[in-house]
Amino acid sequence: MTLRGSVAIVGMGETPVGALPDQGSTELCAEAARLALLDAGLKKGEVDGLITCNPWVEPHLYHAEMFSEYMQIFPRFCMTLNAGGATSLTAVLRAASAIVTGVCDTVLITHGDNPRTGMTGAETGAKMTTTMNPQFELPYGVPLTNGYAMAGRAHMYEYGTTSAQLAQVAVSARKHASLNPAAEMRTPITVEDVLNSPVVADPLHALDCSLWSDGGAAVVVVGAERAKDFPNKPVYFLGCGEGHFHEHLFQARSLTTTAASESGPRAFAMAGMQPKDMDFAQVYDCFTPVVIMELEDLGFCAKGEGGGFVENGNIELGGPMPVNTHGGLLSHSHTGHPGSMFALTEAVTQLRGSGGERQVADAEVGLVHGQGGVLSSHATLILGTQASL
Amino acid sequence: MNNINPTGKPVPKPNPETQTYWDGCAAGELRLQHCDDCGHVQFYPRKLCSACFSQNVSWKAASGKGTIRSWSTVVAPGAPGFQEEIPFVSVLVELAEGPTMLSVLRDCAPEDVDFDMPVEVIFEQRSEEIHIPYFKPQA
Repeated sequence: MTLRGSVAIVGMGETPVGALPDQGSTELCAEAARLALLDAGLKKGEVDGLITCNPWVEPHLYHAEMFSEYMQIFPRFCMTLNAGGATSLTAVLRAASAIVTGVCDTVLITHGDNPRTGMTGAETGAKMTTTMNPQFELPYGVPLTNGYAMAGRAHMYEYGTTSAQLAQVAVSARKHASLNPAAEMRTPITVEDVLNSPVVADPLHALDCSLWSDGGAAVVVVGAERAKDFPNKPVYFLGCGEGHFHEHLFQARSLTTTAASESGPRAFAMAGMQPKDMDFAQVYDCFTPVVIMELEDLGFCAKGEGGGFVENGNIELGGPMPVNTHGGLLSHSHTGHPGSMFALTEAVTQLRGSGGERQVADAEVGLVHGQGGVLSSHATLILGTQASL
Repeated sequence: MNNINPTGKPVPKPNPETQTYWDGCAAGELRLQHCDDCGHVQFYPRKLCSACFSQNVSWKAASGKGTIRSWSTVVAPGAPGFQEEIPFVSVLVELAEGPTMLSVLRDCAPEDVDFDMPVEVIFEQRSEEIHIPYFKPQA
């Protein structure tokens, strides 16, 4: 039995992103859900599966149960997932598994959070430290950003990756965001702009770091046999894989090779495809070195060659492997745990062919990769059009 | 939940698995667990050997020496109480016995840190019972 081609995404919704001081996290989650059901032409009573993630603002011990109550949806499959930035993709795998095994038929996956305006800086800092090991990390006062910085520096040392190559990742993301009316930061930047921005955690500059945003997004997943009954072009599940090597960075098996090296091959094996078959890749870009490591570990280039791979327009629209066509966490938005959901909805947008100015020509198959913690939880999802089945 | 000391810095709260480790730190000794069956050395402390699941795990004093795997200078601390210390250098130290620790490097300017630099442990008192392992360049 395989999950390949077994389910499809038939609805998606995105709220605006950025600073949304008038909306709480539950409201954003609800608005994303409402938009996704509207897009799918579904009534709320038809939803019998619900997957949410716990937001930082307005968390609930039983978030999915709270949200079903809030929406007055009464699912037979209901779960709150927490894999940080990998959450949205692990949610699709669980939705597919539940549908294929007959547990439920129509799964709504919705995430929303407002960490930008719903928390003070001190509250955000305190929340971030809760991901730290309380006895062996927290006592040092080292923030997450420096953890990513140490991994990035190790990659530079081991493979000769340069600051200008890291910067190129941010420049390409911004170029794509400039073509996306929904993106938060749309003014083009240069490598020099990145290198001249303040150093926040050496070797990372401010523009090597993602945004911090309010927003929410949602998708609806159903069995493939029903996929053509909906108003929009279905986007099929072709493969998914996860990889989990550690939670805390000091326990990492490697500082420079992530568990994307396992999640990627698992997803490609399920899809029966290879990296070169992808028409685009939406990969988690909380900090620029992460993109370079992930592209290597997912097999888009050889290990250690990611720095060169991101240069010369290779990861831009029109290049051989457009990456983060919506602008990514670096320039579209980073809404915390829901962050990868916008990479997922962007993949759906591209495969529907509705990407407007940023549309990848003839996009039939694409990859989405999410990562949570500090290079901790990894999930890779491969999606495609009817033609890719 | 961690206690916070008067400076506002977090104070680790030992549990049954980690008490011996923190007792060692208070005595000026970095202690690591060694598996009696497979020889694996592990950090952080666990009830079993994470390599072979043996329950025969013994505490031994470590050399306190290691090398730097990577580092990054902290200019915006990630917990309360560290504002007066910035900038300080976060390090990942590979201990001579094998495991890696997150720590902070003392007595070294950020521009003088390097990969594979030999370092040794020192302890800084955080509360009456808790001393935190830091590192400094080897003499």
